[in-house]
Amino acid sequence: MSQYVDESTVGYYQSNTCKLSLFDIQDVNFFNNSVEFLPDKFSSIKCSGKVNGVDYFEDGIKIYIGTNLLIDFFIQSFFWLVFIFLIPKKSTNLSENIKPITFLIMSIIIYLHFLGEKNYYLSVYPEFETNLSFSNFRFNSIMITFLLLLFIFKDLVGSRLKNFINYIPFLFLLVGTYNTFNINFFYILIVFIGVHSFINTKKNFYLISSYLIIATVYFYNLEKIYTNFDVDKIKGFVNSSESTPSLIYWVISFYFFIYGIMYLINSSKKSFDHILFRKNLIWSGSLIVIIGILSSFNRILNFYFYYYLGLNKFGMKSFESIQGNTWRGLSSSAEAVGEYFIFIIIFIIFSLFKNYKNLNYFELIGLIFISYGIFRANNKASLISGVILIFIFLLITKVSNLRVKIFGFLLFFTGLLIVFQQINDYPFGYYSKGMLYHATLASNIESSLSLNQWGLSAVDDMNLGQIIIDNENSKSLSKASEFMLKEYTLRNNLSILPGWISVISSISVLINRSEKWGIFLAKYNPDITEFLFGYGPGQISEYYLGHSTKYNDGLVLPHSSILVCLIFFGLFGLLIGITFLFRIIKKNYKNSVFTFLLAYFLINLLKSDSLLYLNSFVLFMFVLNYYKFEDTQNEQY
Amino acid sequence: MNLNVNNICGESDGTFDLSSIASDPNFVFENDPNFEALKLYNSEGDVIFVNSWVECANYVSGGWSNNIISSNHDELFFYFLSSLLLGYFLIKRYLSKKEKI
Repeated sequence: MSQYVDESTVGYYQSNTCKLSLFDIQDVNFFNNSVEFLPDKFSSIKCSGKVNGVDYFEDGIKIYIGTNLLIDFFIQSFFWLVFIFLIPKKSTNLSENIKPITFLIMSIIIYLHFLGEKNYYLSVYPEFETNLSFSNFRFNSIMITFLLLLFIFKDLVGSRLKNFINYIPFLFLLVGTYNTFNINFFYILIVFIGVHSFINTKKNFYLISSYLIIATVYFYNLEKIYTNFDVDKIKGFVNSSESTPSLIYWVISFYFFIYGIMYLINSSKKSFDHILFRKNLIWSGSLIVIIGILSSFNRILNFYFYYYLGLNKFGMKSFESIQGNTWRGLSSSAEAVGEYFIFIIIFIIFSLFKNYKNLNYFELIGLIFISYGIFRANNKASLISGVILIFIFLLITKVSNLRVKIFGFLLFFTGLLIVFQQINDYPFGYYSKGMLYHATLASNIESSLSLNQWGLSAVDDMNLGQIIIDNENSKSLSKASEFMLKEYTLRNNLSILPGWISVISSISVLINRSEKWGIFLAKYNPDITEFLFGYGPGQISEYYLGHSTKYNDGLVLPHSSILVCLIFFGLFGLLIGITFLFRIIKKNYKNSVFTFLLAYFLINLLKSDSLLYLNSFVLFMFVLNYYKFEDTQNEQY
Repeated sequence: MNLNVNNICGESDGTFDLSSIASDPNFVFENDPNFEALKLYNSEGDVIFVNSWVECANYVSGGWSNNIISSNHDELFFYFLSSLLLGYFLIKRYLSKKEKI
């Protein structure tokens, strides 16, 4: 029989593991916020959904609810498929064209994932095996359920494919990351669509062969270590290992993932509904806030939302802000969700100025929730960039008098400079080397540093030249830190103009990224081919664990999607990406809504890791191709 | 002391009367921050975490082990269930194709 969980009943639950289900205990513990519900991922099928352990800790009581790999996979997949089923149908039926070979390729891709990231699964199930013998029921069941999932999806996708694009906003609510797999449900489905489109469309052999050549460099760069990198809040979208099969999985699946997104976008050009998309943005945004609040007030709901929405990380368990008044609510990243909320506002403002239908009362109420979400996410940089872009957009599109335009710009930017000057009170010298200071602070170089007469090391003194001298013997600095320090101290100060490192460092201080970018420099230790071509898509573990720093535990990300691209695709890939972006902008800059939406994204990608989250990545791809939809809208309205 | 206890839970400095724990259904095990949490399994595939030497010794004495003693029956059932569903979809698809022809 279930009892109210407190200090006196912990013993009862410890003696009765695997007997009471979550449903049994939730009746009497629904408002018991002194307990925390956590998944026990090691559970057997029999104990799945049951209380598998209760422990008393100083900060409260933890209740472990059994979750089993197979049961999770089944329940979560079919729960999410129901939401796909709810997407209204569009006329064209595509399912007839999906060939059996698509399923074969998908099976190989999925098999490669489990083979390559076996250590991740071994940490969940010590007996996890990937051999395909008949008696390996667990793994066979996984593979069969995957095929089953794809078969059902195939039946659902056909008539709904062209409507998917209008429902992208819900990816921020229904994240789709499995509890026990390093796999995202939507990633697999998009890869499936990608494989299908790859088989059925004309192939660009230049693109394929170029990608294959670059992929061989990724394999050349691979350290071949079966690590188990803690993927934490980026679960499902990065590799947990450094093995050959896992790299093959990521290289192939990422290619098809991009292919799938492009296919979805290109086939939805005419079915994109601006008003519906806006409505879905508001619904998803307000639901994220509402569910986030509910989740933070109730521990049982917190567990359910984590499980059924497929969150990468548990929603906040309290309404209290952390780290500089930030509250991330349901999202795994306050920064990413803040960016999304402001994107919603910008999109709405632009749509209203394009004279689309006005908002109804429900949508206006939704906006109140979203505004509250913006306030709690505390993403000042996104807010400032959003306000600037809206202001410029209004000046360009609504003001015809040139003098008023110039006056407006001058007034605005002078105000902005004054604000920046007021909120940044660092010493002048700190701007040019703040980032490098943090790089040395994050590096394990103490033992190699000599102390001055006051017992201060070169790091304490910000004496970068001395650090280079001290590092000569120990070579404890990463290659990136060493290069930047030398570049700064040996070349920078001879020039009249500030050097490029000083400029980057000053920007990093202004946007509060000097510490994070400094940690990136301390960690980033590539050889020349790794620097030029990267480690490959989703390959973050070599960057993170390859060079020892003070930040090897926890997940301290680079806080810039440009740096993430540098890790994944190297300088060469980054330059190709930038060239591609410029080409798109050059062709479509007259489409003001597209240009400003893209500008908002690009500004924010500079200082956030958003591209490491599947939903933000898909939204970015949508914005990047927004000009394709906009033409259709102009015809429609 | 049971040899298994020492093998699985490690050596303990103190002496504990495990029978007194077994006779008290409401006994609460206190976590030992110096004890690295262990996973133990029983013959039915249940899993528990133990956070102190006493807790570990209590369960190991009761037949729990640090090696999984798994019963494959549940997974076999799941295997047949998923195969059955997949088979159903494949047959349904085959029949609908045949009808069209």
